[in-house]
Amino acid sequence: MIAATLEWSGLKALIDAGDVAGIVQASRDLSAEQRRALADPLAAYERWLRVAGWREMFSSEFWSAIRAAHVACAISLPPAKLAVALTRGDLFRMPDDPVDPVAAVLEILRARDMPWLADLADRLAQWLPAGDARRAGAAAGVWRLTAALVATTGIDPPLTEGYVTGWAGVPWERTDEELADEIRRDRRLTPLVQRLFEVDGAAIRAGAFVPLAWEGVLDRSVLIDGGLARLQRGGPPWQLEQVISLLDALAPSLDEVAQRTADYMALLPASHRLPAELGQRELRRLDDAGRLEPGLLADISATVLYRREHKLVRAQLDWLDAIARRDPARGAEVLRAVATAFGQESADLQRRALTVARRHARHADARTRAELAEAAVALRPELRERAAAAFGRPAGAVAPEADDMPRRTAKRVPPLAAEPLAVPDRLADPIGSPAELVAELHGSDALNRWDASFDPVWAERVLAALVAFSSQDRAGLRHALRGLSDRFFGYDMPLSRWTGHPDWAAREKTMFGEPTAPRLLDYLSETTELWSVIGSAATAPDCLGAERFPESVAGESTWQRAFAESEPSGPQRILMRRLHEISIGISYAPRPLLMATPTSPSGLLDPGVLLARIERAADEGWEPWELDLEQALLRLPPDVDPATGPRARRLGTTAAGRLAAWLDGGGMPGLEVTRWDTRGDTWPGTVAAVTPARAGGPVPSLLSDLELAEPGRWLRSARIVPAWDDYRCAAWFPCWPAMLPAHRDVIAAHLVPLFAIEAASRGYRSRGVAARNGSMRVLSLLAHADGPAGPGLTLVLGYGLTGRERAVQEAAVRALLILVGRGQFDGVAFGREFGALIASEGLPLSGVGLALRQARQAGAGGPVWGLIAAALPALLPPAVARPPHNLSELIELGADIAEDVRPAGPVPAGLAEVAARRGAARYVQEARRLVKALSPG
Amino acid sequence: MANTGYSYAYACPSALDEPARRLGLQTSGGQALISPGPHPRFFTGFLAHPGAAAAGLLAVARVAQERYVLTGPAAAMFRDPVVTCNGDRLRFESFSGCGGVYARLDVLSGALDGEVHDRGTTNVDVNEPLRRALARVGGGDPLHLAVGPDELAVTTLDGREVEKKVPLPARWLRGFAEIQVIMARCDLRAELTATEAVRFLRSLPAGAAGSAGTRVARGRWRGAQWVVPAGRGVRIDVEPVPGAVCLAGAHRLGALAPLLRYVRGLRAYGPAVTAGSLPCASAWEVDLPGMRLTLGLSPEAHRGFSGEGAVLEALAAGADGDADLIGALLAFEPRVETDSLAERSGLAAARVREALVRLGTMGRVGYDLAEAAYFHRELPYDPGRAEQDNPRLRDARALVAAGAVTVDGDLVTVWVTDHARQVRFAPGGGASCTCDWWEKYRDSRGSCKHVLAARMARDEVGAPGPAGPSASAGAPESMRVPEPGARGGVR
Repeated sequence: MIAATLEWSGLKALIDAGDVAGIVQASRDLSAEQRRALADPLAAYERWLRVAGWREMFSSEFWSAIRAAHVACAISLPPAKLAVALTRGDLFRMPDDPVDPVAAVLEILRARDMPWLADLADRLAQWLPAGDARRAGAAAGVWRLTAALVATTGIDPPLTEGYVTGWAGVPWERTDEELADEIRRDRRLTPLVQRLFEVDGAAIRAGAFVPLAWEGVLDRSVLIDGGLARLQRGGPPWQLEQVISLLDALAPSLDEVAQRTADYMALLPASHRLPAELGQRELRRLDDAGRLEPGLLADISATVLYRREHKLVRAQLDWLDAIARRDPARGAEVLRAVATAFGQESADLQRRALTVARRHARHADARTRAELAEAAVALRPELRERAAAAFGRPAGAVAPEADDMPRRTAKRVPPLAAEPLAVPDRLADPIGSPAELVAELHGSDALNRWDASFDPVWAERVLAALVAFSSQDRAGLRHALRGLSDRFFGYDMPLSRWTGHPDWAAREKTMFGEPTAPRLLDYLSETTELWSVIGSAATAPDCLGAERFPESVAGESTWQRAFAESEPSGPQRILMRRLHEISIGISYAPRPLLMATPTSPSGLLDPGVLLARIERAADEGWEPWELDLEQALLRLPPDVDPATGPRARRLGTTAAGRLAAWLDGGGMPGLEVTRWDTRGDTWPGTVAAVTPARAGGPVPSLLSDLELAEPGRWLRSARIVPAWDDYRCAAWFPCWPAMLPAHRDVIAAHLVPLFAIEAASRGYRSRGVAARNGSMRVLSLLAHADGPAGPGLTLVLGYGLTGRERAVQEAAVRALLILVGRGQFDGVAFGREFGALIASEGLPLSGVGLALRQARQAGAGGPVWGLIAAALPALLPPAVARPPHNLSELIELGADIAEDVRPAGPVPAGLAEVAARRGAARYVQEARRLVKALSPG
Repeated sequence: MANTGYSYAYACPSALDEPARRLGLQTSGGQALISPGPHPRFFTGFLAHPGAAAAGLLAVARVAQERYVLTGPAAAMFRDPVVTCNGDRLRFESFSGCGGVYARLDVLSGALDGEVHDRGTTNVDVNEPLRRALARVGGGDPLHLAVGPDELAVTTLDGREVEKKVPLPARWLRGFAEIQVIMARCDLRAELTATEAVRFLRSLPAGAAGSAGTRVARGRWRGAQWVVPAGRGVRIDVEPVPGAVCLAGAHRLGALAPLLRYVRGLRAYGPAVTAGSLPCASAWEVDLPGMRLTLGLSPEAHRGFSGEGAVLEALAAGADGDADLIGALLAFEPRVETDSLAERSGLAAARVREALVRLGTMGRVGYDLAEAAYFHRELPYDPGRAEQDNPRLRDARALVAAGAVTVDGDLVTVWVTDHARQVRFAPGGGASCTCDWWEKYRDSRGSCKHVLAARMARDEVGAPGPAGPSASAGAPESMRVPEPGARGGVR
């Protein structure tokens, strides 16, 4: 046998082989001296494996060796060191392990026969991680070892957080019945149950504990008290549910609840609704049995009626109503409690509270009446009137008309402050030096934060600087950019890794002596093209001075193929093609400046400035790059000084000729945006189409990219939102409006599907992209841009308003407020389109009322009313068979505004019919209120 | 000093005697003005509005036990709240385990009726039975409150001493101290009436506070929101606008939810923002009957206050003789008056203010937003040492000591192992760098170590002039950036 003569070399061989069974075998019959001799090399080898062995972390041999080493530590290490070693590795048994490492450690320890096993168990129990039961699974091996040691030594089970968490475990490790049996067999485990409630994250196994409580093995009061304490502390819903199911299954008797009244009351302000619901239910049960101390009702109601959950508030009002019906003598007490609910926002809850209050008004004494009259100030005007009829007016209040009149003026809600939402009206100065350019690139949000987006002004400034310095100070620019290429974007990556063009990659190789072959990105995006521009500027200017733009450069066909395969959408194509042209141009035909750099933050270009640039080109004898000039033309405002055209024509250059022809032709050839209902053909049913408005004249090639005649096909095939990189893609959306700053509707049309998908949360590829920083910012930028607010913008904002994500809805409201502030929002027209959209797409109105309420808060009550009034006819029967989900919120807001400002104009079609209906559906009640507010007198 | 330990020693556990309505808060350590000792005794008397006071204390205790993001190992060791007696008021402070949320309950003189025995700062024991008992306190008669051991209890000490050992991570300590400096830079941006305050707090995403664990606000959007005053209330914007207050991780206001019924008003404080601002810190102050509860939130849920670097420049400037002088003049005032301090110390008001900032980083003053003034309190810990050992500051000093900084007018080159960082000083006094930190946070989180080192070196060289000589003869050879041709492989 080796055992008798086990030397370190033999043990090391066993460890390397991962032979746990062999180690156990060999460790038998070792003398204390032999064990001592093995201790140092063993500890040293375990350490070496850990420190040096991480390189092997992908080999299974390494892992089995290190586990074997940890098992082997049991042969000779003293308890303190052994505990550390055992907790370092995981003693998890792999499916193909012949021997369970935990059993192996136990066997070795047993053979060693040391008196400190209890001490070891204690140390391991201290180490075991507490908290989430699911995380304790990672330490499952250590837990099993500890439990086995506890069983072997016969000590009391430890009460550390980690031990009890592991002990409760998870149902798939040990069923409830097995756990219950274990406790029946060993009553020393009952303290662990009590401890479980004190450890946040430990599982509460109702299925195991409840039968034991009925049998008398576990103390019911321990379970109930523990459960209540745990609920008061809170936690994730799944844990709360465990505790609540335990308490429900225990079915506390009235005596038990009565003893713990204060504990149940302490559940009422809980963060989560579940504990509060339990508390309310049990206290009500107590009260129904006549065992709730009367003085507590006010406290209970005050807490519950402040909560946000309608269900809880309604239940509390019902309870109060029942008390007053049962015992009219308590009417005054009930009335004072009900008054708290007057402060709830929802008209429905206010109405319910008032109904209860009026029902029992006759029981009120003078003081209570005064209190209720005071509290009624928080009610909506119509309800306030009813409250006044029942309880009188608050002391010191003036006559109702005089009280209400000032509220109807604009003084109460200050008029919309457009200023905070305005963009700066002037651009920052151009970038002055290559070093400043590098600082700009470093300081950019979008290049450095995964959740940020590119700022259009930043992008144009950086492009202008790259082009200018490439031509004026190429050496300085290259020097500055080298610091950038050294380390950027958090990675040590040569620029070539970020470009899609083989030419820059190859040249970088010659420049830096990059030893490995360049790797091309197989998918192009605006970001890869921006890197190409930077890469081009950073490489050797060996082709400087070319007069003409090159017909074709090396690697161009590869780029074209990748570009086609990337299937960019229209505006993406424009951006990418323009960036591509700049990257080629910088190397092969540098120009001292870009034509298209805007002169206003929204992207507009002053025609005089463009003419000056063209004049400079003519003076210096160069022609602008083609797409650059086209983009410049697209950025011209609609009204251009008529003298500009003739002045340009006199210059005689090609560029000047194009400008003159463009102006002669009336500017932009015009793209028409129409609402496109593709119902039955594809989803979403309603999108915007973009088609040429008139034929003839020179159409810039860039514009043809923006045609959107087949929205269905576009949605199906185009990679508007590549799944792998939606952050990067959305990051460029803010640059879209600046492509056509005077025709924002065209750009908006291209964004419609994105927000349509968000609204219905359908579609796999693009889910959630609308909730990115860039997507939300583009809404504001569209509102800041110029041009009609046509179907494209209406649809984008309409879908945005119904977005599933609250932040998207808020972004849409923000855009809406900007439009209102600029006097460009026609609430009625928008509302009509919005109503039709909701009805035809079957969208829910969840959160729309809340979002529009924010707009009203900001002072846009009038436009919001116009929107609601115009939208309602399409949303009410008979226009729709069933009103959309949460319509009541919208009508509620409408009624609130109507009560406030008493707008002129007819009652929206269909509303009166709905209001005349019987029933207590919320939207019917709100419709009644709205009709009343609109009726004169 | 990554991690030091701290042990609390209480004469007996804090307890609430429910039938007698007597709340006894036990104390441990800290400082007291008149009779310092292991268990300072500050107050005995009655506490009005017991329901609100109990809920406020629970909120402070909850923040101390909360981790709003999961960081590091799950060791559930939480620090007890700190209580300060300023004579006319009691302040209970706590700081979340994640280091991103600060809570303070100011119990004002209107809610206190009793005897002040001493002024000072100490820890108070909060334990689970006390927490449960506080949760049971309803309205009704005033609660009898004792901060510090009862004289009766002291004489009959029966070996019920409580000892709690907790780790004090340096980042937690630094954050606790630094928040005072950050709060001093915040101004009132919005003030809401009780009705509007309740409406706003109710509208925040639900499912907020609870036990430790990661919280995800509803949905996918986890960016900062901006709360903008509008009409009588506020509205939420997705982008910063002037006058807005950043609300990052709205779930962190969840500790206020159980207090709704007591809320009498809400004030929001924050630094000035403009369009395009990065997320910033904010403070939310709730008026309760006779009390104020303030929550301070870090700029992002995963960011602790320790890394905000608000005081690095002041620390880098060195010399805190003024702070020592001013510190000696303080006597646990509820309001530190700069003018009177200036008069008594003979220092100019500006220097007094700087000294107060300095004292803040040492945990020796707190900032009360409602009063817009510092108050004197001495954290029972020693954050000053942690602050001195701030990693960025330490690294910057090491860089200067290694002579890795080359000054060339407004352009400073800092050599770090194998690469160089360029620090550019703008004419206005600001500075930019080419490191990752600057890329990510710009100047919203304090200077990076390169800028700090550059400032130190520039100050050493003398007045910053275009022709300033190099701080060192040049970087050591080993620190030189390799020539571009000799680029290393992918890291």
